[in-house]
Amino acid sequence: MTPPTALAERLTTAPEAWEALDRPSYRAEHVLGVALNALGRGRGPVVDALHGTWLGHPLHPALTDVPIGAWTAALALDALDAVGASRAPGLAAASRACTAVGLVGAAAAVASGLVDWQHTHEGARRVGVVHGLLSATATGLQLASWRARGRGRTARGRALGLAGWCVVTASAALGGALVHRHGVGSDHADRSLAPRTFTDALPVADLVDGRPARADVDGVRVVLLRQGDGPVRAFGEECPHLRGPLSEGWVTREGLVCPWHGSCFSLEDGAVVHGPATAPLPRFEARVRGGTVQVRRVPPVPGASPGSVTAAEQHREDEEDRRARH
Amino acid sequence: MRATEVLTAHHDELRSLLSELARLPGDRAVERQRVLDHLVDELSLHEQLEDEIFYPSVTAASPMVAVAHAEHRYLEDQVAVVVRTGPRRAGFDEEVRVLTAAVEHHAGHEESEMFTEVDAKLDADVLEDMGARIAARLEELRASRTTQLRLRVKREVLRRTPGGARRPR
Repeated sequence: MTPPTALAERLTTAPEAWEALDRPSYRAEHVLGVALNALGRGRGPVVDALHGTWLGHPLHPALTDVPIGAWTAALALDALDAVGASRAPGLAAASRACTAVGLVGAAAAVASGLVDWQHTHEGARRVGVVHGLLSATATGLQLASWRARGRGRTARGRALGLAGWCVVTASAALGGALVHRHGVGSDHADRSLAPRTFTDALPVADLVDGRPARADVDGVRVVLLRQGDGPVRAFGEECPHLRGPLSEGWVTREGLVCPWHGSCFSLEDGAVVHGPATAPLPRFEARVRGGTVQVRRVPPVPGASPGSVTAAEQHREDEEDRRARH
Repeated sequence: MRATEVLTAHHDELRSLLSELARLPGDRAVERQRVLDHLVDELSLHEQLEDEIFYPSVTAASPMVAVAHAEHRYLEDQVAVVVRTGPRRAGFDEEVRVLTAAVEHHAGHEESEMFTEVDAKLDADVLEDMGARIAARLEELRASRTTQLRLRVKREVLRRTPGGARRPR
């Protein structure tokens, strides 16, 4: 007999191969794109709010806790009421209220899920379609449950609620696969500490005004950029969203744009200006020595090891550099 | 012509419309609007040809199809910004410059990587046949009243969104 873990894996990975979903999924995305662009200048703020750029990580997984939690509570209250284990009055009303809270959360989760999904690729995109369809089905069942409960058809309402709970659980399993297997919404940037001290990146003459350039430094991909006579800026070259090549991107008034999904990052500090990325770019210090641009990592957490070790090393390097220059 | 050649020729048409738009001075708003309308239509048709015919036929030959779809989406979003801004506003040139960078990235990427790969992996007959289908479909779409109406509605919808500019006369 197949062990249960392998079965769960087979079920959650099966949709990756369903290429037939691609055409309708791109059609649906076009419709979604038109609908979002119909918001005009409101599109950016709405989409960014739903991606979770303000939160620093995707909003969607946080929102999904609301319907799953509320519908689970409704299920528990239904069970208590059905077996007569509690004499507390109003269990049916409480259960209906939980169903309603879940519906409100589900609406927000669907909106945030759609804007995240539209920028996924291939296997993850197909799993995302199935995840979305299951979530929509679960929401429909819970809506029917809420209405049945309101009309006093308690048994029917409970049955629909139970069915909705089962479907949303299956959907959540796919949502988990999307995050843990496909890394959707995870931070894909290289967060190592390399290079810890200044290391040659490229000749400064290779930098064209306002055009990002790529360098491989100690096995780390770095994007370098200089505008006019300004300082050379250096960031991680892979977009934290899905590893789009930022050195092939372009600079707008707002920052550096990823050529794949249009995430935009501040040239000051690598912070996210627009999603779908929600994590900032890794930062590097850059300096020019003898016509060569050198870069070293800015440790994100300099107050504790290993960041503190790197910071101390960099402090020593700065001291030596100061002495050498005097 | 091979499909990749037909698409490259259409890329060049898009490039020349973009440079025409960049060349026209700001005070010739009516002409800029006319070129912009043409550009928006041709870009929409180009995406439609690739989405309908080319990409589904080359998914087995190139791993870049998903990225190409993503880039189309960015182009659509940036076209919406350009149309909304309109040729009489200060930000227009900047938004056209961003659109040009995005088109150049997408077209350049396809020509240097995806098309090379497809040319190497697919049979010449298949590519010739696909090229004929793409060219015929482009002519059909350009001549279709329904398509013209659809594209016009799209432009008008984008222009009338919140923050949209008035059409220059």
